[in-house]
Amino acid sequence: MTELGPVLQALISGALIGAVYGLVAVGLNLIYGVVHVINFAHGEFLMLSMYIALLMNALMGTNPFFALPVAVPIVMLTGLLVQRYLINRTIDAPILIQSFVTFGLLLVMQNGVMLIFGPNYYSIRVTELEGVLEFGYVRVSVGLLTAAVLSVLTILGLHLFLTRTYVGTAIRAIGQNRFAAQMIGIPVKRLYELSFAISTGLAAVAGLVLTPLIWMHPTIGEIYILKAFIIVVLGGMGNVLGAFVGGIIIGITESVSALFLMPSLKEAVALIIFIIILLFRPRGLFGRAVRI
Amino acid sequence: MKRSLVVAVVAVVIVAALAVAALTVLTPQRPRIEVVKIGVVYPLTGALAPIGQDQVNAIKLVFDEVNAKGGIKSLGGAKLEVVLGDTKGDPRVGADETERLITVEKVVLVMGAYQSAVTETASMVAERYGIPFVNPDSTSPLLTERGLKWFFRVTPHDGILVTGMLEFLKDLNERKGLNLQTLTVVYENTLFGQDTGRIIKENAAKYGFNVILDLQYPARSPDLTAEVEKIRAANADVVLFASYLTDAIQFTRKMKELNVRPKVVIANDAGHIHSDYLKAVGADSEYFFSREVFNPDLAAVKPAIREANEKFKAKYGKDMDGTIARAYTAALLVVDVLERAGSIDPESIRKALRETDWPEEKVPMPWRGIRFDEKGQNVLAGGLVVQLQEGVYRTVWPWNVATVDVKGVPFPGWQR
Repeated sequence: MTELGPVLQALISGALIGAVYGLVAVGLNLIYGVVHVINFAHGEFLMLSMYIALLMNALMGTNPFFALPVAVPIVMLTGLLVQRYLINRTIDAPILIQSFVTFGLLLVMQNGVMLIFGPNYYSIRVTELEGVLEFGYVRVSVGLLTAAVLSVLTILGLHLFLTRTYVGTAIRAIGQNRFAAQMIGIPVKRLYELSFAISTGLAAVAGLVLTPLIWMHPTIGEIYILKAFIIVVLGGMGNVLGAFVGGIIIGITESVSALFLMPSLKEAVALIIFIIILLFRPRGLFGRAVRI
Repeated sequence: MKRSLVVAVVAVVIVAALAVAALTVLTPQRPRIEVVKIGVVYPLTGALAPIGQDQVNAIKLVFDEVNAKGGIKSLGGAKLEVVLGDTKGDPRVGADETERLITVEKVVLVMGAYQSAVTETASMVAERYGIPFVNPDSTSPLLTERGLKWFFRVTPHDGILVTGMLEFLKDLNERKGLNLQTLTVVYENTLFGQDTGRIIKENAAKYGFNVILDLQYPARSPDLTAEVEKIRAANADVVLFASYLTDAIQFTRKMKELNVRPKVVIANDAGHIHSDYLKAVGADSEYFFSREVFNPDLAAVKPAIREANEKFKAKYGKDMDGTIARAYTAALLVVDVLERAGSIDPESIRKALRETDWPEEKVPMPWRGIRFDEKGQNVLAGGLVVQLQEGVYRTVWPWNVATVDVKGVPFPGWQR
């Protein structure tokens, strides 16, 4: 037990945090798969929802989870406007130009929040989520478990939406072939806006579930976006389920390698695994599965 | 023959006249020194400006008081004048400003410059011109390893401060009859953390500790579960942290979650004493220790600190912190040095600095005094250890300046 305990703990903690990484990556992947734009500012939408939660907590003492019905729509609306007024205008531009747009957005959002809230670190204490569940040696915080469960449910919801609804199917159709979809009468630009809103909404959910677990800072998005990029490529570009599984793989790899090797190497190990997988599966783990 | 006698007489008369003239011109007592200019280089604009301004205020406070009481007596009541140089927090600007103060303003001594990188370049300029440089507050150990002749550092450097933690743990063992032996050292992977880690690993054995886990982690980690899991598995008596704010918060949360309970938790300053850290997890980190250079509660136990703080607060409306107190201390030292030098000749000022031997009670810092070694380091300066008790950091070590006794050792656990 003493030998197995730490390993089991690392596996479980890694999988739980990996589910949240996955949620961030799924949103990024959705935009790439449908709109074919790399949204460098994806992490900033996560950060935005954290600060909305902070504001609500400071003004009304709201628990970050109860901020969901407010923060998610606000962030989604922001995402929709970004798609309508920024991305749609550069949709036919070369990928470099599109990247400048989203990268510029990243800078504007980071510095905008820094201007309002300052470069200070904040954190919200949620006493309801501070409990710990014990399973022998393994201990899991209620906050992390809640975050992971909400992440999985959100991803499941997205999956059902994309596969079981008419609109979801139309979105997948655009992802497969934008011109064909347009020809059969799918309102492509409308659905681009919807997809972008959904994607940023996913980031907003991730931001809220992370709020009780971590500090917030205007640059926090960078931490998650870097992981999300790796996960997206690992899971297969444009594949929702792949991004989720990729998230869990990265989470577990990091926690297990930190346990057995030096923690400062954990990100390096995750990248090595990433390279090895790409050597054998150049299109990602689920690259051959049907694109959404 | 007669002619040459006349020439000789004339020559003697001329020489004698010249000698008299020379004596009357050169010896009348040396011109009275009216003002002694002291160069003060600090960041006065930019992000560090508030800190630099505080330090200048502390120095001016000391000098104004001396001037009001009749100036430097050994210099015939000469008044002290602060000549400011703004480093803008930039090593290059710091060097330029120091050069200006020395060559244009003719300052007799330079004080500054807060950041180690700026102090490094500024003191090199002073060295080149042979002007004494008194540094109140830069803690990079390398500054006094450069073989400079004119550089004097009043503050303890990071090496002294970090080994101070080991000294405290050893003292704690003896005083409380504990048997703390094993040590886990946890540090972030930038310069600050790596220096701490290196110094602890090099010195632990000297103080009777065995480092059983050497844990370097990436700074600003979003998740530290695996790190804390390693700390838990190693199960050392003492866990020592060198972390900035965000990691300090994450470590404390995770340690509580995984119920990791080392007998002693001690931090090397930084994140663990930040006010935002206390807001986020202060209630949980009760009985944590931290290394410090100064603590407001010291005023209660050391009269020199109380007196300095009262004067500063009366004038500027806020309590001193470690940086302000060190600038104040250095200014007192400069006054004393000029008084003893009795001259503004750089060499005699340097000699007076070298001969400094202040007793403990004279220093408004929790140090054993001020005495410089040949490298220019104050060897009597040292750090403090504070402990979080009922949400406030209280001084617990060195024992002679402790305001409360050490509590909660071994650490009683998280569920309180």
